[in-house]
Amino acid sequence: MRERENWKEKIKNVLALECDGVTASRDLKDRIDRQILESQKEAGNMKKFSMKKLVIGVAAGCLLVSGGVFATGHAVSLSTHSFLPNAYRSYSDLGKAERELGYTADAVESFSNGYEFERMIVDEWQGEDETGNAVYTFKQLDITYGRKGEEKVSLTAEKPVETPVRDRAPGAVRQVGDITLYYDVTTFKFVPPDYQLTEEDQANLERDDFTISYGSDEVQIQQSSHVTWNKDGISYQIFGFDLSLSADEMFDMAEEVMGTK
Amino acid sequence: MTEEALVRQLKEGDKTSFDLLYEKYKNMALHTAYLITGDLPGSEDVVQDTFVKVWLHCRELKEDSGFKAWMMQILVRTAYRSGKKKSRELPDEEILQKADKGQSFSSMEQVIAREEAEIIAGAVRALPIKQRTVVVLYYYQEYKISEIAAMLGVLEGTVKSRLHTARKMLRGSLTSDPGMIVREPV
Repeated sequence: MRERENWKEKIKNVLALECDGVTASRDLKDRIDRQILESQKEAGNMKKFSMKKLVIGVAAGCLLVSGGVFATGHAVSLSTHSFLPNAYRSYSDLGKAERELGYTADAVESFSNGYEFERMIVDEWQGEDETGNAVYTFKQLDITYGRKGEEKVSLTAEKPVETPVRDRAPGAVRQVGDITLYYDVTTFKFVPPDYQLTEEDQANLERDDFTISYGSDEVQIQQSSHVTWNKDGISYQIFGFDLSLSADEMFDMAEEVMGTK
Repeated sequence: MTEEALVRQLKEGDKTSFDLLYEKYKNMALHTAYLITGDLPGSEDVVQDTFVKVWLHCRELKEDSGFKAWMMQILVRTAYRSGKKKSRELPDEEILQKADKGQSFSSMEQVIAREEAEIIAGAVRALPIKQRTVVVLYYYQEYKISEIAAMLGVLEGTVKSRLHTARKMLRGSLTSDPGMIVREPV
């Protein structure tokens, strides 16, 4: 019996010695994270957005493409593979999200009007040409805030790949130093990928404040309110659907993010 | 935070919990995969596949308290499949790295102990993967026969049989070495 125990102990020690100095390499975790992301992309629900009259902001999970701005690049649509389980659940993870993003961005944990941090995610978006080929990609930080009994509000930040050119009169404007904040309301019609446009849709698409977004399970119409601004080469947007917030309230939130209020 | 709480959050998609569980188990997983496959780069691939599966399938885990056993089951099966495809032998340079590693032996007793350890290690490496897997799990990870059977999806009797065969083969390997005095009980 004792010899059996000695034998067992001896083999354990020998095998432990075999593993001495064997540790996971630094890039193993990166490879795991990349593979998880790739797997999710394959399995995920791909969202696609028209680039007609856009693009300054896109919001993961909300399918938002803001209206009122023309893109001057080559992409005609944007797509992403949002996967909510990738989200950071603590605001203290902002540094991690920024490392993923590749740069730092303005953000707040809560707003004075009661909206509080819920989660944040870094999404990779792809600009595609008419045949669906990728012409560029960019990352976007998307932070979601909640207030009891209210619709969610999102703050997004990205470095624009294409030069946005505004083509419509904004709903409201606020000047903060040399930064201009624009407030717009856009009607979004979310439709399934195989949706055929109606005559009414065609007519509505002539308007500056109407856009179609492909990728939802069913047809749904919502009003989006959004405030946009550019600072230090980063495009920011605060937006939400069917919000009860006024333009001034949203401008105030933007200023809190900018740190001027 | 307890492991069960981490697993609960992991199942809700919390990446931080996944990162913490990875940090906790990464080296244990790597050692097990390495001993089974005998191949260091290959064992990292096994750990990679395992943790990707953990993330993608964590909601299939019924009992939060059973995370380690569930993760090890994935790992061992992945390592087993990987090890079957590859040579049982370590590349020469890895053997040399092992031989050169670490300790300086001064006394004759230590030299003998080192030689003995190398012979045992070589004998374990030379075992067929079925036997080597149960040896690693039984002797190194100290799992019970029933736990190993669950991990491998085989009957307990099969595990006992593989262990018996492994001991017999080890004894054969060691007694064929003139420098080795074997008193291994069967």
